[in-house]
Amino acid sequence: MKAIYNIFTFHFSLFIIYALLPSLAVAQHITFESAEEYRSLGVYDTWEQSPFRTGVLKGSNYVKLMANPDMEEKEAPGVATNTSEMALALQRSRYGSNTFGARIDLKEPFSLGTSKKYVHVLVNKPADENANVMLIGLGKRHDWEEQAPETEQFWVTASLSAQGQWNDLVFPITTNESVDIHSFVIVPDLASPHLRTTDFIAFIDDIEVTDSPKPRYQIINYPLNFDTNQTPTRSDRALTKLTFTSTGESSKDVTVPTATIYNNLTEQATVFAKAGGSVTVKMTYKGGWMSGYAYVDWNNDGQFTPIIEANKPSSGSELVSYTYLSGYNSKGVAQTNGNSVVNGTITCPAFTIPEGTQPGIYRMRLKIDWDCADAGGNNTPGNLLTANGGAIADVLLNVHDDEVRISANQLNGDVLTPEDAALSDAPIPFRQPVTVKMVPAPDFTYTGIVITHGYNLDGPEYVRDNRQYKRVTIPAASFNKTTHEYTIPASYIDGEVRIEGLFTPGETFVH
Amino acid sequence: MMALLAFGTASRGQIYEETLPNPDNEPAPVHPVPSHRQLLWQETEFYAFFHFGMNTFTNAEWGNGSEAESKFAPTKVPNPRQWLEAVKAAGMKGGIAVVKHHDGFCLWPTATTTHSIVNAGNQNGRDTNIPRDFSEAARDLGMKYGFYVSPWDLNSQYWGDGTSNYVNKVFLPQCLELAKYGSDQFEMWFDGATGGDHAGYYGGANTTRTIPDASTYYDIPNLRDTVHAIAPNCVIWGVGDEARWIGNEAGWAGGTNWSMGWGESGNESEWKWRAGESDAKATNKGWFWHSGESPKSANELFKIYLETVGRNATLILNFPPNQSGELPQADVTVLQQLGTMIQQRLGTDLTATASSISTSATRTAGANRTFDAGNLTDGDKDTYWATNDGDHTATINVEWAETQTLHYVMLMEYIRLGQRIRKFSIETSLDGVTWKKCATTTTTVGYKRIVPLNNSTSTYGGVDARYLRISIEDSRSCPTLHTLAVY
Repeated sequence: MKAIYNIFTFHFSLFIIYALLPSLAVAQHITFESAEEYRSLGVYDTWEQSPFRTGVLKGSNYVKLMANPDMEEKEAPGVATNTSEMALALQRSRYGSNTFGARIDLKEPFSLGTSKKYVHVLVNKPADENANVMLIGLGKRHDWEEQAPETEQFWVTASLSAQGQWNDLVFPITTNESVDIHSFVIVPDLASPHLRTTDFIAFIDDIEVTDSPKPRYQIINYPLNFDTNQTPTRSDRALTKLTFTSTGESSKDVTVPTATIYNNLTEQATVFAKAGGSVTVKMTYKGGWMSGYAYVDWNNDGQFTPIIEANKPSSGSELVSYTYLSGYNSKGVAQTNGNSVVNGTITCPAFTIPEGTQPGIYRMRLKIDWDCADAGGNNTPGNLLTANGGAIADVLLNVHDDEVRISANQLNGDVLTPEDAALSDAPIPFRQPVTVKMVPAPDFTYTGIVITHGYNLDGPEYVRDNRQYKRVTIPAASFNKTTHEYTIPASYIDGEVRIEGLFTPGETFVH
Repeated sequence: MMALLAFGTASRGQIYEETLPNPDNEPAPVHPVPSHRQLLWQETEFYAFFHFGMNTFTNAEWGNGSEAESKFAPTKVPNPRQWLEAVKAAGMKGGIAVVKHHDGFCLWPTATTTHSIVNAGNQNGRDTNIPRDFSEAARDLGMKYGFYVSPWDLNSQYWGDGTSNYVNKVFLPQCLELAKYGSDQFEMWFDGATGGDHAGYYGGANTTRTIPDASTYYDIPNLRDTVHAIAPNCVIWGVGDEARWIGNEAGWAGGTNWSMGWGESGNESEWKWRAGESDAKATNKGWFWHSGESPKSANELFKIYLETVGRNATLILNFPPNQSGELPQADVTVLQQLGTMIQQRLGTDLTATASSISTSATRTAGANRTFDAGNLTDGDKDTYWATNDGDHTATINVEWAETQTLHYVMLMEYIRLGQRIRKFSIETSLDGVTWKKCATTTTTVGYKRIVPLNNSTSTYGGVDARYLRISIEDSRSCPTLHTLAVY
């Protein structure tokens, strides 16, 4: 090993190599209650011309330990409670770049080894500051003695779930096993500040590195007021089927299992609708004296927030339809009582997908309950959803345009239309099959294609536990052996469509 | 420079009050912005790719690592100077030479493996040292240079064996060996191929191997840091995350092409500057030389040029040396033709003879800097035209004393302050009253945008006009342009 490492020392005096050190396994938990928890505080900016790097502005003026601005116990979903006395305040300078952040130098560096870790951070920004937050790791290889410990090792982003309050963010991190992390940088505003005229303060607290991806304090997405696996308490009442009717779509039935009161059907059931169109939900229900409720998480914050005014949902309400609530249905029509079951069916009034709703995936919840706007189920003693034979099922709502975009990226060949045209964000009709053709480069052949379809294809696969897109591999055997064409089923054309051709060296066919 | 300071109250808005003076009234950057090395890289614009190696002698595109070193037996000592002279005739500013492909055969005397030219099949092979000869030739010719080194190594027993041995014993030392061939390298090219179902030799294991995550496995952050320490202006392509693959190998970029994001069009909202590079083959067979191959025509290559360099991407155009270690004469000829065509079509800037160039808005001058329309045509990339903050639309008007035949409009943003323009249009007129919209949808500009006024990158055709009007219709902030040219 020594002979090989001599290559470094002989040619490059900058990096003197010495024997591999064992990985450091130091617990990292910084609460900012004691200066003993970290080595130093400052700012960092990846922009090489940043005035904080050139020395024009002094970063130490922009960080300060301050009293926690919000110590209240929170019960609202999506909001973290932070009762600690002190927090780190960072003034987001408009002269820093989109990666300007607070730098926390660790008391002791640590190594991840070969495992993935999770950095948990509490962040609190003003209500109108909703840009993503980034975690940057600064460090070095522990076997390169003279390497500066400020090499950027990872950049990970997270989005806020609660504006103007504490957010419990989780950043998954990995590095090469030879790397030690020496500092964290928390970037509170991953956006260009060029239109800013003032600064703002972001608060950062309770940084902890763990093996768990779960938020520590924040209430979970789409909460229930009972255990997820709760079994029915009554055999005379059960939700067995949902039927959705959307403008321009054929009716869609979704069978609801009855083994548990709550069913997450988001992987199996997606309802399609266009902005401006209407949706009607019918619930097939064994039993009586119950009402139906439909929710849509329009802002994708992991919660269903009802806004009821003048006895009906107002603009922005995520309780979109119901048969009975405080004497009225969601059309504002007075109801004699909450017994909404007619011939074994509860029919919720049609609701409209608001004009301007962005194409994308939204969580939709259907609930059978008694006079209750809470999407988690009636939690009033004496009228518990679990005791009344209620039920909850979640599905996905795909709000779409008439056309979607298809593109193809690959090495060593092309995926084209049958007419040899490139698939370059070309518009195609929604939910209509599309035929593509494989054209390998000379001396290459193909083994298939990978189709990614849905929304936010460059982002995480799941947002708020809602699948944004799917990825499916189509083997070469599925292609026509003469034309080398394959027709992508209509069901895959459900949002953006991105194709990756799989080409490998081999005999090229003549096309 | 002194900052104006005053202590503020610890409110929700400020810990500290500070205003950064701006005596030159320069627009605020729109982030992200390119690093200095990314700017230099982008200015290379058009350069060559030279795939040469074991595959040249085995008629393969991907070897499997088991090829005997003796198969590498060029009929002459390879001549990188001939390669570079040929592509320079086409107007290319540099080149990247493959020095190790996936088969692991190294075209320099590496200390990391015996699978190299040291054990080549003849003296010409043993005298080969592509990094040495390529870098020396490039410096002599005043051209930029860099190397392609495949991270995936089908010959190495260590690759994908579940340990760090390959990275620590082979890959990082190889990269550092290559870095010693010059601190003035402009790009290091790391192919993204990582195994999958392609079986390899792997030191005799003869199996298929994969790795979980290329960036972590190859320790890209620290490789990047190391290369930069030695070659500070060397952009790390691909997994290095300083320049992106344009998303196809057919030689085109998107009509909309942001320098952030991924693929052919990029993404305005992405946080990181990652401009696109288009890799394309100039010949009709593989990336490596194959018997019977021929180059594309100069006209086909000019179309590729317009659809890459003319759409805010760089173009790396592949010309494979043959078994004598030289570019075939047919390639040399078409390169000369391409150079002539580029010079004829894009060599004479008609703004030099314009009777006036004016703009609808001009940013207020600072103490040492102006933002006038004259900056557009002064040949200085460090001066630029801009509007005042808040003015996100503007028009640029060019007028000639007599009718001209106009073919192309070329625009270059001052990307040091970020890519800004979202949409623009181009119109021409014979009388200054009746206007004809020339280009179809024209969106981003970026480092360079060349718009054919006949709407075709395939055919050469002009528009007669005395007046030209460029309307910037949408911009992320006040637009900045450092060059306007009309051909």
